Amino acid sequence: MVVSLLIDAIVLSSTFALLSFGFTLQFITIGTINLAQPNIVIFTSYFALLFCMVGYSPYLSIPVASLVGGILTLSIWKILSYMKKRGSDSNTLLITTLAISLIIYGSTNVFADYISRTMGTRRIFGLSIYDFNFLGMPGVLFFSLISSILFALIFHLFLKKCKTGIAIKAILEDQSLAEIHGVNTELLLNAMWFITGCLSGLAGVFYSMWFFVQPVVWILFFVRMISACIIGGTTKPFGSFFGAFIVGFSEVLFIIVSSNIIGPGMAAYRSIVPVALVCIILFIAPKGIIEAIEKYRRE
Amino acid sequence: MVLGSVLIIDILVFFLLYSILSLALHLQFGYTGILNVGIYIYPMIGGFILAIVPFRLAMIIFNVDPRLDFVADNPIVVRILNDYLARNPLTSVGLLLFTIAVVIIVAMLVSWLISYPLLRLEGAYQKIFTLAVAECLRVIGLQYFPIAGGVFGLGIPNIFKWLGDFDWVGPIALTACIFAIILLLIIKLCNSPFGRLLKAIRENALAVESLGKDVTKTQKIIMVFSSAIAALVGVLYCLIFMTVTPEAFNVDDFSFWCIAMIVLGGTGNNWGVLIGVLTIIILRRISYISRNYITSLPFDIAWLEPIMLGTLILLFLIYRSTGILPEKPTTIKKQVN
Repeated sequence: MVVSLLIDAIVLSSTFALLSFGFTLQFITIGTINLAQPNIVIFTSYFALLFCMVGYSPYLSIPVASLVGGILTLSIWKILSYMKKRGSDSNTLLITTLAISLIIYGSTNVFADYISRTMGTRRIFGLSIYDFNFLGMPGVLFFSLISSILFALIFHLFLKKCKTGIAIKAILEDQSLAEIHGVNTELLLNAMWFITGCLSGLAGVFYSMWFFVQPVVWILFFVRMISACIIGGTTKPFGSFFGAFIVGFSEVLFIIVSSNIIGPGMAAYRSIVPVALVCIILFIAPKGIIEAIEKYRRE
Repeated sequence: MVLGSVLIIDILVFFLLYSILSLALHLQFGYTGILNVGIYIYPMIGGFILAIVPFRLAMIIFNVDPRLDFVADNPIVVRILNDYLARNPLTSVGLLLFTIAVVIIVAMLVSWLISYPLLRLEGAYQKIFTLAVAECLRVIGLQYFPIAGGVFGLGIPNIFKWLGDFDWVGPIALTACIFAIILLLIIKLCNSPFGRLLKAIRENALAVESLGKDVTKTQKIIMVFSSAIAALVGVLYCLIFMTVTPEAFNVDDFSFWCIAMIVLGGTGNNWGVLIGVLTIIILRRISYISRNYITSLPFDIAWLEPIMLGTLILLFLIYRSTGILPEKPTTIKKQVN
């Protein structure tokens, strides 16, 4: 049971690390929360199911799922930037993402219904049986963990060493100032939103290969994602990355401890853990743990 | 003829319920600029309190067999309590008023408690944090059976049983009364100096603060006040449908639809909100009825509803962000000596 829970924690954390990272980047650039992102994750996970249904490995769906995620997210960015240029405030932008989220949610359900009626799949699905085993462990464990760490490392090096990376860093710090210095912010922001969308597609495939997916779980995705971002720091992409690992492992720790003390039924309450953690963190470190660590170092 | 009457009552019921909730949300969003996406936590609290407090209290008052459990033996207990409530109008009214009082107090308390971590957050995260808290409460409601029967929900006795054949009118009349009181209260509040302060906070909180007004305190007052109104919707909803189901209190029905109604009707205009509520209620009813006639599609037609709603909001935000009835400029009556 403990091994299964550990796999659970690693896959969950890695998936949400990819998501939260992109989520924070989006938040920094537009100043609002993209409510549609969890629905994109679920929508793209159905592509993995589709690939399995036609006899291919779910891993082969990664390019398609990433591309779909990227295109959808880029479209959202285009709508949001258009609204922002028209002078829309943060409330309007948030409602815009909510509207898009509803459209994607409805479309996911239509898609799920359609493939379940024409291909005989189920609306609730998990693809762990299509995964391969390596050293007695599921392949998704290695793929998700390596992908998230590799992505964080590449992005870190990209921001530090590459000229374009430094330009992106400038945009993240102050968009208008970067524009004055001749940085093509439009192009870089397009690219950044597209990449964050690709990460959502990737996360969708990984998640469906260990956990069960259905369209209504978007809200639980959302709760975990914002918890990870708040814990790590709402304006710190790498902070949210660590926040995701804290959320994932805390959930598993909660299940182990509470199951031993109270009973096995406590696993059903795991989704409360991230929010409880956020409430605690907000009182200890209101700006997230990364900011708190930096402050401690300075002192 | 009968079908037509049922449809009109159906539209009326949902119009009243959604109007109260939308007006509460509008007070936060339209007047104060606080977009509370997780407002559905309060109707949920109202529903849960209705499942926990009055009927278990009635079991003690009416000396119902203590071996019977309100949740485990729900159909039997509901039948017994219905018999007692039919013969005791005063106790029924007393229980109802007591429940309303408890709901208002608890909702205000929860709202006040939530405001502490909430105000430590910045910008957009402040707007969606209650959504996370609400979802946690829903998980507890769905998993912990003693509250409201978990995923299956609970049947509740009809507190208006003493009205005899018209017992179904009771909850609707109560909802209509509460709607009228709240509408009057909100209109009065919005036209008062306090209402103008709210609008000023929405437009520029920093400028208001520089004039010596306590923005945080005002925001807290509005959050607490509107959460009490929103919690009443939960009670009324459960009384009308005589059931408490945690699954029913979801973000789509009790939050997103209300935001859509406000955007459609017109932010900053209470009458506009009511028009938005009526429009969307009628559209949803049409969509609901059409499900029985359109069956040839390879998917459930119900899923077109969120697509339609999302598209409608988006189109309104892009082409008519002021809504059907735009906000009127604030006018102050001149005082004549």
